[in-house]
Amino acid sequence: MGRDVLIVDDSAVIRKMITRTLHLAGLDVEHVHEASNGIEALARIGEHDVGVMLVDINMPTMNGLQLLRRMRGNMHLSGIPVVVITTEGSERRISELEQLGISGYLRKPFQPEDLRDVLKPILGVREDADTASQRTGEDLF
Amino acid sequence: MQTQRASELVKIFSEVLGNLAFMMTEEQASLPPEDEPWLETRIGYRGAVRGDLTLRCPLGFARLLAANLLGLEPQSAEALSQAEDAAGEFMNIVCGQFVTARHGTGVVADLTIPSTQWLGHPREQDCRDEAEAAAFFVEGYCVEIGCEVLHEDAAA
Repeated sequence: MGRDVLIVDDSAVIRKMITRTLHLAGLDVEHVHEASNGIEALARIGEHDVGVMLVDINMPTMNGLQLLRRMRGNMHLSGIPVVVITTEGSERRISELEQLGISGYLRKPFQPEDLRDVLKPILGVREDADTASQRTGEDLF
Repeated sequence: MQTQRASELVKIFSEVLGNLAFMMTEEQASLPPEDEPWLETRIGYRGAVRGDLTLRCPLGFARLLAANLLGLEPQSAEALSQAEDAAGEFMNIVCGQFVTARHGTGVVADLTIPSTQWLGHPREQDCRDEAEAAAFFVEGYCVEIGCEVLHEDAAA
């Protein structure tokens, strides 16, 4: 049985693009939930059994770094794997994210295969994923 | 004449547009008539280096961008509703790439949240090249992109 994914990004376009990628990449996903900032993300985590989070950094209200720090300070949330998907590419920022215990980092724009490679160890792939995964290169982004 | 910064910005803009939305920039001598509103999307980077990037484009371009990003029909209601967001997120990506291209990965700069305003109908200003801006065509739409650097002395 698949796990729930929470996408945290203030852009609805990016959330839709990532959702589409998750489905077409053949990853073993049960439900996809969405939040547009860190505060909403914390609420979604309380409502659903989230198996992995895909988090942007640059967001209003509570950004991705603030969200990560909040989660790492909470024993109930610190175990949720977090993959950061952001436009930022500075080494210092990536190092800061690694110290916060992220499970992966993708820089926008990314290829669907990149997302699949980062999430495959966490989510696994569906048994019927062969056909879907072969389509990623031509269908996405 | 374009500055090196503006040329670099155009190169990044074109690459991101092609890779992300399969849209190609093209040169065109004369302007097609524009009978739809324009929008302006602005995003800044703040830190050891500071500046602002601006995209000005007709609504039709932003709508087509949204459609291509999401795999929708350009004339669909959803493409229209996501047009502003698509332009903002597109500039977010362009800005991140621009900062790294100019200053390397050693500089930390936080990006601002993209803001969009409508420029009216029809747009008063012509599509034109300026020192820190560039104008070109994408799928028949006139598009302008510009940069305003506030501080650029940080060692990369």
